[in-house]
Amino acid sequence: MTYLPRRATGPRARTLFKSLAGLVLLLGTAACSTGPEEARSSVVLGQAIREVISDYRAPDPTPVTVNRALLDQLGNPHLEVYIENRDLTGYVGLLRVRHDDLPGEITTWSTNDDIALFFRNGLLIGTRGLPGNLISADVPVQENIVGPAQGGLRRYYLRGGNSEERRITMACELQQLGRETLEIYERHFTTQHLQERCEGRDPDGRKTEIINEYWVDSRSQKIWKSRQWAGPETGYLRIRNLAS
Amino acid sequence: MIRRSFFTFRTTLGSAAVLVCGASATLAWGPDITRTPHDPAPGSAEAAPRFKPLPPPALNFYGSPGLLDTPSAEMLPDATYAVSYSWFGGQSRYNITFQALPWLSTSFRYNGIRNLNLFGFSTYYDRGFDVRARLWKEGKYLPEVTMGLQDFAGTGVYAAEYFVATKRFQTPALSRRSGPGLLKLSAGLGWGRLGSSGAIGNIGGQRPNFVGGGTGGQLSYDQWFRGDFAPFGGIEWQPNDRWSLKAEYSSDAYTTETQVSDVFERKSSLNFGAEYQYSNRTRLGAYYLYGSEVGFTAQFQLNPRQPMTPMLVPAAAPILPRSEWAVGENDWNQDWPQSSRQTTVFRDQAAAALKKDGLILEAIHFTGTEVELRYRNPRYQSEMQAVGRVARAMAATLPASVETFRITPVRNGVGLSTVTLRRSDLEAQEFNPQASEAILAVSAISDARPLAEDAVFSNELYPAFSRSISPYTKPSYFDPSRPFRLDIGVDLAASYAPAPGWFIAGALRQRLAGNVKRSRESNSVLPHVRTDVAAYAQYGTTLENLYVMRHWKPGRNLYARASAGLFETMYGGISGEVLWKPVNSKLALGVEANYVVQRDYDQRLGFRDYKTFTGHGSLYYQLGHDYHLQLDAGRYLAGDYGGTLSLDRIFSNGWVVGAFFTLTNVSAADFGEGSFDKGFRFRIPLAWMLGKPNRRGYGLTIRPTQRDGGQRVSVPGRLYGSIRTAHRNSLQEQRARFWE
Repeated sequence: MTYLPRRATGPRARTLFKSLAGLVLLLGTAACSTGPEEARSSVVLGQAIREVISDYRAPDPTPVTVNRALLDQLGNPHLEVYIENRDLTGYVGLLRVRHDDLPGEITTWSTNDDIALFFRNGLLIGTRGLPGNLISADVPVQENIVGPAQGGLRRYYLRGGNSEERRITMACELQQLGRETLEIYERHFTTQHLQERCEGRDPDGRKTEIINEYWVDSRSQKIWKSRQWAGPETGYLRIRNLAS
Repeated sequence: MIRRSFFTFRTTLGSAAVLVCGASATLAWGPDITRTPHDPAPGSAEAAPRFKPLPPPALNFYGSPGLLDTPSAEMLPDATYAVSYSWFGGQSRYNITFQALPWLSTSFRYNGIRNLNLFGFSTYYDRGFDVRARLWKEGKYLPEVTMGLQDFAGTGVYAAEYFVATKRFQTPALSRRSGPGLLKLSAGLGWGRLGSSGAIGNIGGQRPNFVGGGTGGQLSYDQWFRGDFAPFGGIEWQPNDRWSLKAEYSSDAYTTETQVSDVFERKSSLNFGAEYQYSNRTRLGAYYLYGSEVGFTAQFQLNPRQPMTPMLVPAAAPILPRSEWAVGENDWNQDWPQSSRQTTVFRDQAAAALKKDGLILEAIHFTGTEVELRYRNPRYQSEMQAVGRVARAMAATLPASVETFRITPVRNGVGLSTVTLRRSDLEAQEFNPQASEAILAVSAISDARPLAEDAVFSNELYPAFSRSISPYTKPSYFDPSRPFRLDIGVDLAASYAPAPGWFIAGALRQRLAGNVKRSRESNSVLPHVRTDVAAYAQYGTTLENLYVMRHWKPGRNLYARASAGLFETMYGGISGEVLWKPVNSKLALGVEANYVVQRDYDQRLGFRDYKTFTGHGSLYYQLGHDYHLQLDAGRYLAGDYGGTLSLDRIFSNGWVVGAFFTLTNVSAADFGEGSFDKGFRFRIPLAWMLGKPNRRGYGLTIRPTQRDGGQRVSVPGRLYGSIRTAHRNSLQEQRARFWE
């Protein structure tokens, strides 16, 4: 390589670069485009900056107080979902119920802001609109048995940061932990507490474990409460059924 | 009937999406880092499987894993892109290291030595490349061993070669919470700089001393592992996840800096330091070196596979199986395509459904049982995600009699490939335990065939007019008088698409500020095809480009482009290209021919006298593991003949890191500084940073020296890049995106 002589980078140059950076930022937020062609990077970045600013300025939404009276008016079944690692609670409404060629009833639940959760007989088989979505899952279900029917192999298929599919395989054991009575917004339910302990290994050899828990009422064929793992990004979800 | 909850995450607790995205952004940049907890509680998030890697190993002052001024044998996690800055005793080093393979890394460095006062300059600037290869991995007893060549080409101010071994040990926990610590012991033998102090032997006699100057650019293999060699080594102790303490014995005498010149005083061979892992990507260090100097480093390690903000895509509408709604015989009627009123309604419904997902319907062709939909994807980096969204939009809007979906992504008016799906498969596989694999298994990916004559086009696209106003930046590097210069300003761009495949575009550029115009004048003995940067930068209001371009598909597996006009700042002319790329092939072949005239310095409509024919035959091959090879052979702008070899690692999410070099019949002396054209490039996708679907990115091509040999004209709309992403390999790799 060759050498190059030097001229001092004085305070004037630094000020120049600072003001240049400021100018770029300003221009970025003012950039715009119309028409069907793909917008340029600076236009996209400008939009993103504007969105952050408007989100920051937006007033906090008024919190909704949930009680049984409100729930009774809804008509449409709802789940309360608490995302543990974000400390965030939300509510999803039942969107669809269907069957396919495999055992179990598939339910799709969704919010208005485009987050959706899929269950097969109450076992989580997919998330959408969350980071690192659970694309699909192999769950141990049987027709007419709500919740997990047995232990055995469980497979989670997730979308990774490079748009690739990543598979997690776990070996599970199912345990009955006995009867428990739950209270969900002034209603009481008698349930069986089931625990699914699953073990596996990370690619680097680290031993991993997840524990899914279900509070199942076999008479009404409902899981009133559960704590289920949704993948490395989303972590555990605590779910309560708000049906009356 | 689809009913959504009136409750939302948004109304109850603010925007869940934004919160989730915001929270993870803080996780990434804020103080939380990934750790392996000691004995995590059963059922806790810590005990669950994890995709995020642990923070990568610490870097040394040269940007490679190591201690302070000496290397260790560690490798960074595969694909890591590490940018670091180090400073001590008036010496600064900017390093970029890329872990190209799990066992191989490369670095580029730009450095400045203040007050060297040699070779006619007070501060000495230089550039250098390193390469490191792991010879074997750490075992139960064996240490990891790595061989390194530092600053291995050209003048080699930092030239050194070494073998180094590192062994890691667990140390007792300082507290219950922190878990066990980690101790890394490294020891090595160095030549060159690393053999200059405390030598214990010699191989091959005297090694030539470092002398600044010369054209550089040649491998200095005649020096490698020659001359005195000396031992070096040190320890790094990480008592917890955040802190590490380092101590080393350096075998670098800093002969030029301390004996020939007086940059700093070397009083000791021992160096010490402490580092703090601020976040998963950022690490900061402070040091005391050679018994006299303080120093610091800032290290930023990006992993292309770990987005800065996790990608959030709004959930798609679920698929309604026809068995649920098409119950009457009438629903299955196949006569509807005969009514143009009906088909227009279906086209408009499909277009509206696509628009919700940010996609644009180009054209649609109906028969009673089969529909081909052509769409444009300006939003998703992953073409497979767009295909999935189109399939859902078709399932939601088309009559029950349509069983076969033919989905054709279109770019520049040309069909890139066709994914053929049975609607019953789509309905059946949505909740399959292996949904991605299952849908791929029943999809046929084929060459896009010509669009049927009775296809219905979108009524919004042709003709279509687009315009944008946006800032631009134009950097210039490594000038002798100032290493970095920048122009910034505004581009006013407009384009017009009169018919599919035709495109007319232009951009006016107004510079607002900058200093590129003060760049040095060209001293090239070749025609000044690229080095008249300063002359072009004298003008602030310019016509950046103005051209007409046509893309078409002349036959099976063939793609073509013809362009005419002002292509770029420096050239205008005519250009034609043909590419052969079968949908399922890893190989593509292309030819391009251009007749170009150099534009006037004022970059308006005039030209200079220099005209030339330049053209290439190109071979593209997908090597696997994200690696893409490109070989070009032909005539370059200065009339020189030769070839270019490029190797790029292109990730599915749009990250690119690559390097290239060009050898032509121009001699090293005629070429000037650097001897031949070479450089590296990278591109960081905006979606990776922002966590929202988007196809754009920021990228740079950096040449250590910009000369006139081995240069090509930059023509808009080149074929290969956009076509490959819609072909089998790419769709298959991103299958998980189909259902997302």
